[in-house]
Amino acid sequence: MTDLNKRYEEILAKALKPARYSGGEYNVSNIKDSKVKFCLCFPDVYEVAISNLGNKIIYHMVNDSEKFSCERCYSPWTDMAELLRAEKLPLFSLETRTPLGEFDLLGMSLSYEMSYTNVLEMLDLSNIPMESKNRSENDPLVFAGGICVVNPEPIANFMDFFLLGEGEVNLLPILELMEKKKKENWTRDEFLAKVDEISFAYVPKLHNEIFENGVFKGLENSPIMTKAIVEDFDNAYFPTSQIVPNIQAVHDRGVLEVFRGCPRGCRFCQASFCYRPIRCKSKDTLLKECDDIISQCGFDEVSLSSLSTGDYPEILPLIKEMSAVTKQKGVRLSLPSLRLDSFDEDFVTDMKKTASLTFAPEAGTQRLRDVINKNITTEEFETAMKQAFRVGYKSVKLYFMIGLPTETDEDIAGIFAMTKRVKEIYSEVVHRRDVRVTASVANFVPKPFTPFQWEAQDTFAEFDRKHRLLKDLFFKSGFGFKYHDTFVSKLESIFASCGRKAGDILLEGYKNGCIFDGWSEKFSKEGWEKALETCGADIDQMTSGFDYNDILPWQFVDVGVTEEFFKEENERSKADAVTGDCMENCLGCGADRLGECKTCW
Amino acid sequence: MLKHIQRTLRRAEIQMNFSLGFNPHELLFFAPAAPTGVASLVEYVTVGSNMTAEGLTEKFNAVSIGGVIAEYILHKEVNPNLAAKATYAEYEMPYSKELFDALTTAFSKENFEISYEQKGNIIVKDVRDMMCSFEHCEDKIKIIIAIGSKTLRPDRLLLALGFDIISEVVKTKLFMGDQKNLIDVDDFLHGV
Repeated sequence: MTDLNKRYEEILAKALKPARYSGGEYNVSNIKDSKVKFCLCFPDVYEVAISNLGNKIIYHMVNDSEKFSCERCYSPWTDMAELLRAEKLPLFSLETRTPLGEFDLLGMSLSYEMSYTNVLEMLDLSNIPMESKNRSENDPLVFAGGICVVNPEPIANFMDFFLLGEGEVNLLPILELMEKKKKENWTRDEFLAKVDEISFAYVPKLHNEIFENGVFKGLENSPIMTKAIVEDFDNAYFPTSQIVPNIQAVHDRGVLEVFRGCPRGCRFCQASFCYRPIRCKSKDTLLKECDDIISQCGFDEVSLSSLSTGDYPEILPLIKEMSAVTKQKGVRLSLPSLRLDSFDEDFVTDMKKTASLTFAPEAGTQRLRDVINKNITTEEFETAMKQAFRVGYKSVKLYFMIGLPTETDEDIAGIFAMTKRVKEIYSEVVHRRDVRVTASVANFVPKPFTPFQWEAQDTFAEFDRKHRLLKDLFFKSGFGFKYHDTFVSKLESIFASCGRKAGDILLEGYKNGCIFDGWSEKFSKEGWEKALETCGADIDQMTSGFDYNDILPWQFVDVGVTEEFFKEENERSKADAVTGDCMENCLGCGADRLGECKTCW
Repeated sequence: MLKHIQRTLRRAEIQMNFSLGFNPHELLFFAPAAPTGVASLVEYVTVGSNMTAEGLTEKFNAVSIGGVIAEYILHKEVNPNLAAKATYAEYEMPYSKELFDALTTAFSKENFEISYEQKGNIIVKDVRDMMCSFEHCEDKIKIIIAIGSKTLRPDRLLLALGFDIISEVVKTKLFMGDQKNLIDVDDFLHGV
């Protein structure tokens, strides 16, 4: 055992949960001797990171490749970060306990804007300069991928480059290029110049921001970053020997991805548009993957994952056949992403019975649901509730958003009315009153690559007023009521939709001790207020939206769906017009420019 | 541990029987486990199954994670119910004269109190009747203390003696019976 490894062993014994850092899980890959040392980093704690399906795919894909290997590193929880700092030990990979600074490439998987400070901490704990401009030839090249990269600008100062799109396609070419860099002794800049030529990559240092009279006018040298996609999704790499964590993960089960993209097009939903074109796996492929995942991992639960599993074209036959396999093996089957209108008694009868059923009407009135294109009618909502109660559920969680475009106080009141209606339906169906109903209310955050990307976010004052309205309505009602912190939602908006100035705020926030900002118990409002003050930033002004004519910070990014389509959808929202399911009729969103939508066999 | 055993058994294709309730679960029964932070060489689990035990040890070990090894799998007609029967466990730790002297003093007393925090309260407890024996064996010290319905955690005992060495403690044996007549669970299971 090396001295360093021995010192890591010593601090592991002092950590709250050593298994977060010990590695050695079942199905972990043997790290082969590769010419390129690559570490996949996820800026959140182990239990969250290990549940991320994209990371599982990339990890196993690289390690199953002939030439390359991939190690993992996740954000250390605050106790471990303190131990590392106290012992002056660098952050290390789980597989070989190699300090991150010794890797050639660090890939940051970004799926949530409020994890950005964790990225900085991972670099800081590794003694790697946080800002890319301060890194030397000996430092690893740090890049980011994941859904957040659709607007890379808020984190551009900290990344050497970005990769847009699906890791099955865009990662191996970069590892090949790194191998060439090492073989031919390219400098860092020579390597980055070549990366910038790749269609799905972007090197921010080669494209400074251009401002005219303080107005953003685009980036130098007109970059274009186009999303890479898997064309043959049914035959795409998918690991069935997934890592089985030694401690309980957030999603402690085998996961099957039934399709990518979403045909519904809710106008606030970034994932719906950014994961298009829609590509389904065939039923036979999924059945085989299910069988393999059970025998190779031993999970007692398998879930069908997608943005809207109920929309899978052969969902009922799939569940029927899969249930036969899982039942025989004593494994539960779960469907975590069912839409209200796909809820069906036939579905849930054989499903894992969770303690509580979760539905997301998102808005409290039919008018506002039409505005956001959440195509659920009151009748469908009530039918789904009746079915749920008939099969035995007696706890329901409803998810709503406030601050949506065109929202009025009547829509806010509708949230309470819908919650109340659930209890009434329960009494009608079951003739009892022992139902538990909880309404969870999030704050709308306008996201890039949605029809609402131009919209302003509510101001602090307006969010507070709406929260007060809701609190009054729910007071002593007997219903559970939760709402999101306004400050977190405002910051999320800044880190989702602003340009590089957001990076200055991010760095200041980190310097003020902000970390794990997505975790309410760790969120430091004071730290962020100080950061905003230091940067002279007005948070309401920064989230006041865009005009159609403005150049957006993410204008150079191409996710497939066109700006024209988003504008049309934005206009339709203003007319309360709904847009249908694109599996039934193609709506011409533009995503098929990157690859064919494949929805059936 | 429960999840790990369940998953390993499933990977090894060892069929488990299930309970018959609304949410059926695998019939697995564990003997009292080592406290958190203590390494263990002896854990026991009973699996309800209609299979015979032949060849199962190899199947289990082929799909287990490093560090968790089945030494043997025996067929028993009746659940040996080790959770109820186990009474004492043996733990090993590195020898030091200071620790040996501290144990000698503690075992010479009629009462020995430890204190620990539980749900925000400080609990003070006389644990002398849960302390069976200790011995110096080459470079180790072995102690036998209560486990099961009455448990004395080795970390609490050692802390009360002034030693913070829990990461170096290993559970090595599990016993049934009382202090004067300890029966090694391995012997019991093998019918010795």
